[in-house]
Amino acid sequence: MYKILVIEDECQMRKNICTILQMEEFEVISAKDGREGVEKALSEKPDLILCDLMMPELDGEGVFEALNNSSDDNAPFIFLTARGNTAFFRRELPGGADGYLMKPITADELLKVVTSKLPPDSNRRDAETQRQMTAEAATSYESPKTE
Amino acid sequence: MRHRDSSLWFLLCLAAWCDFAPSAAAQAADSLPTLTTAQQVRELSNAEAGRGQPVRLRGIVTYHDPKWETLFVQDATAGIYIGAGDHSRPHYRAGQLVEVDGVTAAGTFAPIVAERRIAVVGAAPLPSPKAMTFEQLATGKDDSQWIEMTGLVRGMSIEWQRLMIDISHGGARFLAHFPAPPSLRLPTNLMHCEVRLRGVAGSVLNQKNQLIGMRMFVPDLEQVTVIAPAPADPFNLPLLPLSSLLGFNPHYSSNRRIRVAGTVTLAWPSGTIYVQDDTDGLHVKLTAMKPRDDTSGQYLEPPPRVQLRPGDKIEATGYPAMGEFAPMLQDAEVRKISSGRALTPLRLTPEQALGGTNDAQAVELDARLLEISPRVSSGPEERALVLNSGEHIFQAHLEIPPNREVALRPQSMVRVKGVCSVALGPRHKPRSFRLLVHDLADISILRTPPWWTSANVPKLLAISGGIIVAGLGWLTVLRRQVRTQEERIRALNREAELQQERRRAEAALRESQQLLSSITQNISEGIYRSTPERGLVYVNEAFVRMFGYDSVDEMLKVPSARLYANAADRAKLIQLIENDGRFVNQEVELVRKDGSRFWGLLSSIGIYGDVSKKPIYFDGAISDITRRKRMEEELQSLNRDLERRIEERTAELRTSEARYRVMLENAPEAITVIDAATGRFLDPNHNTLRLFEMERDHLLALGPVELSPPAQADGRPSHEAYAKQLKAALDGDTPVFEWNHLHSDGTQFACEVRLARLPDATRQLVRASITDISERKRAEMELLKSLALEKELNQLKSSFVSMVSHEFRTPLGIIMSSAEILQRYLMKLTLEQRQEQLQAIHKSVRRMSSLMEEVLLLSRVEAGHMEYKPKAIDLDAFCRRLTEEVLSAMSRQCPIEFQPRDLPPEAMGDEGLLRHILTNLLSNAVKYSPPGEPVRFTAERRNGHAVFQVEDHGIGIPAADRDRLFKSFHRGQNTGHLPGTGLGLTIVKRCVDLHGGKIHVDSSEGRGTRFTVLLPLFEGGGDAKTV
Repeated sequence: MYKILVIEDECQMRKNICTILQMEEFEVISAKDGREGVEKALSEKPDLILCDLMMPELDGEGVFEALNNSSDDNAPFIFLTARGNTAFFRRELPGGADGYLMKPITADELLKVVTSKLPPDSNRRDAETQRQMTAEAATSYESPKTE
Repeated sequence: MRHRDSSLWFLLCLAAWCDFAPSAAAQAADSLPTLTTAQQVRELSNAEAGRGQPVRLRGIVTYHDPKWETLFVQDATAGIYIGAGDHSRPHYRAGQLVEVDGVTAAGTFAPIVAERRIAVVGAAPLPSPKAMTFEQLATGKDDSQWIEMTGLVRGMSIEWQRLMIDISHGGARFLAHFPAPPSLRLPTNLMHCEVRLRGVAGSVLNQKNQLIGMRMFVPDLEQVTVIAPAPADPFNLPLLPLSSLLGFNPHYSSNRRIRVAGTVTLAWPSGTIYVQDDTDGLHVKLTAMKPRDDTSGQYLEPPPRVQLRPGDKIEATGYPAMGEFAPMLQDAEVRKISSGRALTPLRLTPEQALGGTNDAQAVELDARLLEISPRVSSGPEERALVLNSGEHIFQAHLEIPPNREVALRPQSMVRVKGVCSVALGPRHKPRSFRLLVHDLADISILRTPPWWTSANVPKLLAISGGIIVAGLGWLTVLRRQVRTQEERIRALNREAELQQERRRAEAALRESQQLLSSITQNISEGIYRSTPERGLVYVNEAFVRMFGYDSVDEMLKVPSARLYANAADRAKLIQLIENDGRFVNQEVELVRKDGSRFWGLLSSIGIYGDVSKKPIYFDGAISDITRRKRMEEELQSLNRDLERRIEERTAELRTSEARYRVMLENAPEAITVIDAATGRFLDPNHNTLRLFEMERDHLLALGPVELSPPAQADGRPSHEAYAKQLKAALDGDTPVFEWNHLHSDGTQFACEVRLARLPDATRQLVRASITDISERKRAEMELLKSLALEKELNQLKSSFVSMVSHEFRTPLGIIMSSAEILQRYLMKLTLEQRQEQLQAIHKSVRRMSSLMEEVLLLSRVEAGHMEYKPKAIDLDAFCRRLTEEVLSAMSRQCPIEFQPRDLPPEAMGDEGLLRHILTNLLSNAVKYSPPGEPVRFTAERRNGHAVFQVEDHGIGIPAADRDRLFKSFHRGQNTGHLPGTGLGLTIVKRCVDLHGGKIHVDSSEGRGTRFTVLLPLFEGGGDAKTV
């Protein structure tokens, strides 16, 4: 099971991202600001990092730089940003960052980016199948009940 | 700087590239078939391409720089440069599929297509690039093609709206060009990274259009991929011993920086440094760079120099490179670790130095100074001393500051301390060496040059001996010659004296005869002698000619009376001579032989005999003054004419002056003359008097400087500034400048003054025309003010947009993700989790609607829809109710302590306005306080006013934000991610204004804020107002 670190200062947003990832059978740890994010990234060695760009104290680019300077084999690093202009951000994407997600984030986009940055893994595929099954079960089960 | 040079050259090349003439060739080419691929164009020779064959291509834009009109398009066959037509192009993007309609044209290097029309027909992926090495690129055959290169980023700059990245690839360097919109900053994160670039291959040409270098045109930074990032801090690399550089190392790469340490042995101001450790010495070249902004672009520039002295311990990082003889460190950065004593140099002989093992090390040699190279420039420079030791001649080099001289005499024996630098000869053997000297002080004099050197003594002896022998011989010859000459001279002298005596006597006689004859015959005056009885007895040739006779004899027969036009004249002249014995310069009209008359000027003297009292001869002279007479008459006539004309011109001038006077007086400007010598006004027109509000006499006693404030708007003293303008006018300029003058009552007003020199032979006069421009100035100010207002409105609009996008995105994002979670995972969620998601949605919706409310409220206030509607209020109860509402809305994050003081039971006020004021202040206080920190809220009566105070111990308001506190959408810099619109305090301020009250804030950042609001709520309330 892959371990994902979510660094996001907005409390509810952080909870929701964690919930989606947990529902998809990822192990999720979270941090409420950049400083805590760097600490957790170094101590917990996650397989992938999702990090908000605009945060008080230490912002996303700061986190990215700090992690790049402290170790060579870094986990894939994905920025979450609310900035309006994709092109603007793409040019500024710090060298070596693996991608970005524009807010508001949909679950599909989130999962697409996360799975594309992680090597394929058998547990993961199982989880995906399971999710689809659950979703089907939910609709078939749900539709008569909500009437 | 390297980049600058190449960019200038690029300009030239590009200008040449675009130098084609499609229109001229177009007619001839109509008959030629249309080409449809880029490769067909590339296969033409430049001469064939010059005929303007029609071309129709469909290809992908690979590069377009609108600033430089550089456009490359690539189709399935090849890439090609598209020259611009007359019209301006839109900005094409790499990846756009275009149809190019054009004609072939000769390029400066390869054939090109000259654009007639370009249509964008879609988009397509960029072609797959051809991976290249520099060697392949350098053949030039892939010019204009989409290629891929790798290399190491060694420098960068933005110039002329173009980003240029300096890439090293193997041993070669080239520049990658990128179009740079103004927002682009230097991508310094790429510095020292190994990158892969995709772009269009380009060539650098010389003036003869021959290939001298390569470059790449890369459409944007997306085409740059980092293959290997730069090491985070090269100073963390392991230290390498100097002797290990460029030795065998399986992990070595010239593209990786290394770190070395050592003691400085030489540090020249120009950036050449030598260091030495226990193993070897090394040449370090400082060129590592940091970004710098300039008006014309952005550059990387060397970091500030570390002041280094021999003996300093330093660390250096940089790229190892092959030097002339030994490795060197390029693009190095240096850190000083400590100071210390300079290393003791190794004593060497020239033979040892040539061995090569001491290259780059501190050494010491004794030698004789042969020569010092002359200074060639005024700046700090490298000077060379030529030295000799044994059979070796070698040089010592040093950098000398411009104010220092080399006080060494040739032929001195010197001891030179320096760094040994070996040069290679054939077959990689050391050929020569030189010493690089840190400072002049490192050269000490062992012995000054002796006067009597062993080589000089025999030379001197031989020269002086030769001189003595030659001198003696010459003396003997001279003496003999002198004796012979003396005898010859004596004999000649005697003979010459006799002859001279005789000749002198003859000459005197001849001379006196000639004198008389010459005087009488050659002068132009007529000379005569006459007697009272016989008339003329002698005349000269001139006399005969004057009277028109043929010979002297004929002349002498003419009676004197016939020669005078008026007999009375003759009588008068005879009378004069009898009375005075002479007359001088008498003008008399005379008669020639043919009867014509002429004017003569006569002078005569009577010659008296011994006995007679009457003269026996009259000797006289006549000159013909007919011409003079005529000229005198002409002159008189001319004079009369001139006088008449002067009179006419004077009259004209008077009219003209009167005309100009009218023009001057009726001119709309104030026009006056200034005498530059006195600085006074001379001839002011009526408007000048009106402008300065002064009587004419009063004004004439003053000048422009007296009627100016002591200093002008730019702070310069008025007298200095005006003197400068006057001088400019006297030098022939016509200065126009703005000037502050004073009215007679001392008030200042702005003028525009125009000066021009007036022609005047004796005085320095300047015409000044002065226009009062205070009205214009005022209009300019108005315009500036309204521009500022418009700018503010624009700012407001963009603030609003950015607030909405920022503040609405977060709750929207939460609503979206919560809804999605509920939808996707409903069955997997526990009941509490579902509840929590629903609450999150609810909270976010509330947050958005309250933001919306605030915006709507402000727009109502701004539109003037809010009015002051007073009615009776129970303040105490009202405040308690509000407090409770705020506590509940803010989830009781902080307690609010309400303290009423002496509030009367009834006040008159507008409940709506009051509610906006107090809820905003209270919720702000809670929002910006740490949870649990109490907020104090007081209300009291002070005379006719109610005073409300809301005090918190929150984050406070930074001093920098206080001026704009009540401006719409402005939020404090320290509000961080706390949500807010920046409208609350704007609304508060408007409501307080509507209520006729005042608001005041005391705050200190990090410690808290206190708002005080004064409202006229008692004794009938305040004035009703509508904003």
